[in-house]
Amino acid sequence: MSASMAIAERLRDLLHAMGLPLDPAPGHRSAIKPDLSGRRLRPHRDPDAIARDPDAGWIVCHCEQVTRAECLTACRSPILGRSVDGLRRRTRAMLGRCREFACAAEILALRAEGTGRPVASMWPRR
Amino acid sequence: MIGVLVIPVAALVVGAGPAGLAAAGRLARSGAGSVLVVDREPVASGTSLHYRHPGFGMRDQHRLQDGPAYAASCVAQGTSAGAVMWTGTTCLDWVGPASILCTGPAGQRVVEARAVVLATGCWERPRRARLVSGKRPPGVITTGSLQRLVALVGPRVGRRAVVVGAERVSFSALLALRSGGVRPVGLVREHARRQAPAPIRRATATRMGVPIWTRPRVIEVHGCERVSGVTLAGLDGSGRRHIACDTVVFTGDFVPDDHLARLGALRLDPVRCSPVIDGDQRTTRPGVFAAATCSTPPRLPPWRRPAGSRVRWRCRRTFAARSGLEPSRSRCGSRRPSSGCPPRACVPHLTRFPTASSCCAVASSGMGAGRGQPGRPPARRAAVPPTRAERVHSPRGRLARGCPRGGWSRHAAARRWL
Repeated sequence: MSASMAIAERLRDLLHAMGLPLDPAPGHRSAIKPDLSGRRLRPHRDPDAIARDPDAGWIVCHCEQVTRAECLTACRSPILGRSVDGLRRRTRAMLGRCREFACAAEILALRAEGTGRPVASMWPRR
Repeated sequence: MIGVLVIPVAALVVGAGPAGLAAAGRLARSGAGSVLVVDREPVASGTSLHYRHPGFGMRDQHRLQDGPAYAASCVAQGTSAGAVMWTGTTCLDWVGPASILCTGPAGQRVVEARAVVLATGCWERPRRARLVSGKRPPGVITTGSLQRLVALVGPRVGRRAVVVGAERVSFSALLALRSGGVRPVGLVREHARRQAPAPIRRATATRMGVPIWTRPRVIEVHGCERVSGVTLAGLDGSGRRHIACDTVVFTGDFVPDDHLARLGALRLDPVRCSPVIDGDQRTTRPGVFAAATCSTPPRLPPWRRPAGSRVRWRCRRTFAARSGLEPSRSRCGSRRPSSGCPPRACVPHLTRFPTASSCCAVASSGMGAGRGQPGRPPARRAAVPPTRAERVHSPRGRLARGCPRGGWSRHAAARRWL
């Protein structure tokens, strides 16, 4: 959820004030949540991002302007992205106004590529 | 746009579907200069690539083909004429009167064109916009995603499907379901009037034994992990019944892809949300034209080449049906526009359009002035009285002569503009 990061930060501060500091767990892998708010430059608008990774200029969901790079990152991320619905909520792909008219199959294929599973096992949305 | 490569072209066509490719091919052949076609999909040719059944090409190429063959011949038509094609490239925004910022795997480019033809196509109205309540399980799709899914996952798409809508594309969905190993249980037609010609219905629904349920509505979708069924009811909510199925295909009821039109502040039709065009496909933004299904509903059956007036009349009827109004017969006088009735419902703002000469004046002053102000179209001038040449080429005159719409005027107005 959008508020969970802010809630977590607030909780951390409260616990710290109560004398219960939080230490990072051993073997912790941090994950960066993509910024969907449009406050910062989205990858397809960023020439440097496209120069680093051509997939960042390849838009797969046109309504929400989600790129191939964002989808693959979400599929390979340690948190969330465990199902197609997770991928949808993470990246907003397939949630635009055309509702999967153009992108459903492409994103299922991308998820198969990102997770290394066969394409035929991706429907219905796994 | 500092540091972004600027590509000057004579004409930019947005969308490499049949209409965009035809426009590009004709523009290139007519010696307009460099023509660039930009498409967001990795493969050009639009949605006809996904219709794996015959029924294409009769109107423009005079031979019956299936979707992929028609798509290939359209692409050949565009490229053989010398039009340059960029696929996998998305048009993001306007940065000048007729300049567009594009992005793709190769990076960002600004295409500075003298004329822009929008041929962005349309999509089917999804479930959310049809206000069908209930749960949101997987299995609720449109024909567009069904066709791509069948191509992707093969015969594992589902078992029983209900098709909502009875337009031509709905019967195409029946064929796609069959090739995906899904049994169509029935076809739900909300409209009292038949929306597809009898040969199409006979070749698909009748042959496959699919019943057409007239005048119920899908009011609810059930299911959690997967669709388990739908509830149908009459238009007044009576006669509810439950149909068990695991796939619901919402078909037809096309919505134009108006993203660029909205960003470009083009005037849009309040009912269909498509750019308002005149008979020469001009939009309200000078130098910008709109073609094909992003400006009109999908065309008539391709194997019947109708007169232009008939197409206009069909458009008119479709618009009237969409807005919930019956077409006014009293204004037309007769049921068919054999009397040369102007399609007022199609072009409500015809007289308010800038004419070609005033557009040129705006463009020559606006191209330079507007360059520093991205996304702001130059102010429109008041229309001047049409010259004799314009009167001769007016849509009403052409309509009265019975010339087919689209093919000729789509590129001709853009050509004259250049």
